[in-house]
Amino acid sequence: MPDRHRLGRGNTSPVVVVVVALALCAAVVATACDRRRSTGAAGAGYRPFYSMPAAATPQARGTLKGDFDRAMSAPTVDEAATRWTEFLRAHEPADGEYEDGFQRDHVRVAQYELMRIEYLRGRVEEGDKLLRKLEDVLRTR
Amino acid sequence: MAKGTVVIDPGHGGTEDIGGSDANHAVSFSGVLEKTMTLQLGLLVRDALLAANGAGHNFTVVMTRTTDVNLSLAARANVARDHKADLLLSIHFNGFNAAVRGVETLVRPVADGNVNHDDDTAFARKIQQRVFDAIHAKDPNTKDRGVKDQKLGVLNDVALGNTAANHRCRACLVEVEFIDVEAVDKLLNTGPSAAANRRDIAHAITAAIIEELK
Repeated sequence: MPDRHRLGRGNTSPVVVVVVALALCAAVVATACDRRRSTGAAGAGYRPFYSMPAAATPQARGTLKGDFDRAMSAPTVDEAATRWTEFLRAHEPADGEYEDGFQRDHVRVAQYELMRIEYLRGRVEEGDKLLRKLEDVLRTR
Repeated sequence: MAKGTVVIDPGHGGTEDIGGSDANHAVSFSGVLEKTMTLQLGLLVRDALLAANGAGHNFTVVMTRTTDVNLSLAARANVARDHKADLLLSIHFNGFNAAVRGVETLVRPVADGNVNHDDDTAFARKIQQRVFDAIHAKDPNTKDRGVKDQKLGVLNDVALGNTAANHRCRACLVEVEFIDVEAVDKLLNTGPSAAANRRDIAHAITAAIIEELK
């Protein structure tokens, strides 16, 4: 019995591998398609790449966190682009001199998010411009 | 015996954003402001350093602020320049999505004019290790996010008074933990051991400073 069991397992192994590989490919494709659908186009509903829970203590407009949460909760992709642009105008240090890790992390998320939105809206040149800026950030680390 | 001049910079403060320094950034799960926590911890570090003088060390401690006021990033660094400080430690707390955890310490990159990057990094590693160990002893869910390069205004060597030829001031900024996480808020603000935990973190920072200035 143990021998038969081992033999059977050896014979079916390649089949199992192929089936598992096909299943994995299907899952990856399905996930990718789902992600494309979920992010939406210009006028569609906006869902940020990373989900953020509502803040336990909501912050006022004009503060870094308040403006960040406002952009995260934009109803449409177009409105999100507007809000992230406003966020970066207000909170990205013009001279690149950050105050702390909190500011750096939130500004970086905003830069990534706006870049992703520009590509989603088909504005490739604007997206590329933001991508180059992010590469600058990565080079300094 | 350790000796030297140490500048402790509690991040943020006041109600106005001034010269790159916002009045406040992170808010704890229960609503405690980061600016309040940085001042509280900064004063504990000051007291612990001054108490160490009684044990044979010789520190001069200068605070960038002792009340709820804000100073520009350059003004904070200038305090170190004006007192010919050996060390500047800027204290901050972090926040993101109420889930991310960890301790990180930041130094200015060489590419952004840091004339004593290696010295800053050595100091930062001591701070990072001691603070992480202190928090990890209370809560194993914290993470060691390490020492990272970041262009921060308060660590600007020109404002600190450092030059290529004369760069006595080592400087770093510690992000103690993510206070928007409920467990961290309990650890540092609302739990029954919060006061003792804050004192232990202050002592950990003091131990790192003593080690750096020996």
